[in-house]
Amino acid sequence: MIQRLPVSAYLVLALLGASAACSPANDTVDSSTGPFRGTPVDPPFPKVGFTLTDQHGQRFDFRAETEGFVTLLFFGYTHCPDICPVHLTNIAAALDKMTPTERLGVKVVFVTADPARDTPQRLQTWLGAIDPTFVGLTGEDEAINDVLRALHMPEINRQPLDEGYDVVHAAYVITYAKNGEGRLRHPFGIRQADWVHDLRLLLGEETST
Amino acid sequence: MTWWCVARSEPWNWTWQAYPGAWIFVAVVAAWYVAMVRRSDTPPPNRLFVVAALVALWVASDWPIGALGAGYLVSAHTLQYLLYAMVAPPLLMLAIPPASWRSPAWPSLLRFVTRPIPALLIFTLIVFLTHVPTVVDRLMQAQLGSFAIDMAWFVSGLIVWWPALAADPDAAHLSPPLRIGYLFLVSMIPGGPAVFMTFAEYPIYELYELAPRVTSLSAGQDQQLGGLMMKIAGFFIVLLAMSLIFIRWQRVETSEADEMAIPAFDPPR
Repeated sequence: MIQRLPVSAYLVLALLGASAACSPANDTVDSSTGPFRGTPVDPPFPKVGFTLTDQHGQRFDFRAETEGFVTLLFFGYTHCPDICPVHLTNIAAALDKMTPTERLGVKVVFVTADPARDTPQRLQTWLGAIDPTFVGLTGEDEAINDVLRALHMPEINRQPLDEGYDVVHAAYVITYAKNGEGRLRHPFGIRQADWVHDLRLLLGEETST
Repeated sequence: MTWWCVARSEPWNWTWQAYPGAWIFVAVVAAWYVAMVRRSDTPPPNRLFVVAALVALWVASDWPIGALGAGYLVSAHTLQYLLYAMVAPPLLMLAIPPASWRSPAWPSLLRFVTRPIPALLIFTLIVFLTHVPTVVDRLMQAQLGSFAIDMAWFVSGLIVWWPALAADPDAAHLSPPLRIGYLFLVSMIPGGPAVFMTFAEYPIYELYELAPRVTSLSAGQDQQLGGLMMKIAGFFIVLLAMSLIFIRWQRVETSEADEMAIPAFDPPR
């Protein structure tokens, strides 16, 4: 004889499934990271200073131009097949979820790890398709490597392919608070909801003078 | 070798890839149908039904739809659901020879789960569970998990369409109006997950949110498209079935009324 579950059991299971489906993304915050979803940097480090060429061909002083803003600094390259476009696209989508005032308090700076191919025009086209407010920086290999070394990040590393080459680079975003401190690292895998959560926390902090 | 479509962290590539598991699956379904037809004394209904069902299963399982749905696009994953649960099962049932419905080979468990209320509950449970973000994000990372979700859709689709389309003479029949009402309830079930997918503030599936982009759609837009497909396309498929049942019912009613009609009164000459 077939054991029958009561009808209510089926309904409970269905409701459990539905409730799980509507749970917010990434609601399991790791308590070791504090209130943030990204990885805290301990101790926070000062904003690195450098000047490179932006996507409009103009000189861009990173420290001066981002002073007072929550700043996201990411090293990648436009021919990146996966991490770079997904990372930046998710950041753009997260910023779209924020209010215009919040949005104005954030600056996203993308520095190419492939300056040989990422000309200002290339950066303008590629970043413009993601978010035209994003800043793209390029320059000589050595100038970019100076910045990477200052941030204790791997230097430009080209891996030859059958056709062309790939560029190995760190996949995380360095997140600076409004006071210029490097506070968080957001690795690849951070989701849009996490970005909005952390950016709002940082925007809400008082700027110490 | 990758037997079944599974999530990959690689950028999408339009180069054809072989998934032998998809071919084996379709071949098994085809072989089962052929064996059933051979055991049957009656010729099968229009063979186009089974051909269309097999094509639907193949498209859902194989590259590119299977691969896109397994790890890149929610909309492709939803298309798989529609093909597995809403297209192939009714077509297969329409292709089953009439005499086969009385076959002793159908297990008693099958006859139980294909009654209207258990069928609705099972389908609801499967649809909801297979759209839970944690379930999708984890199962789609493994071939067996991806296969399990696809088969859950297919089997639950067979179960839920049974009360409306089966010609099993020994089963508790629903009258045509009740079949139509039953299918209306079926059309409502995907609405739950579809609403979440369409109106969620953020992408709900980590797998698809972090997948390399294939189209110009953002992860959120792709998810909304999947939700709309699930609700609207699924509804129209069921609506088509409801309409066909209604039309057939009306034809039967009309022909029965004609048989019982009193001959026209001939006035005296």
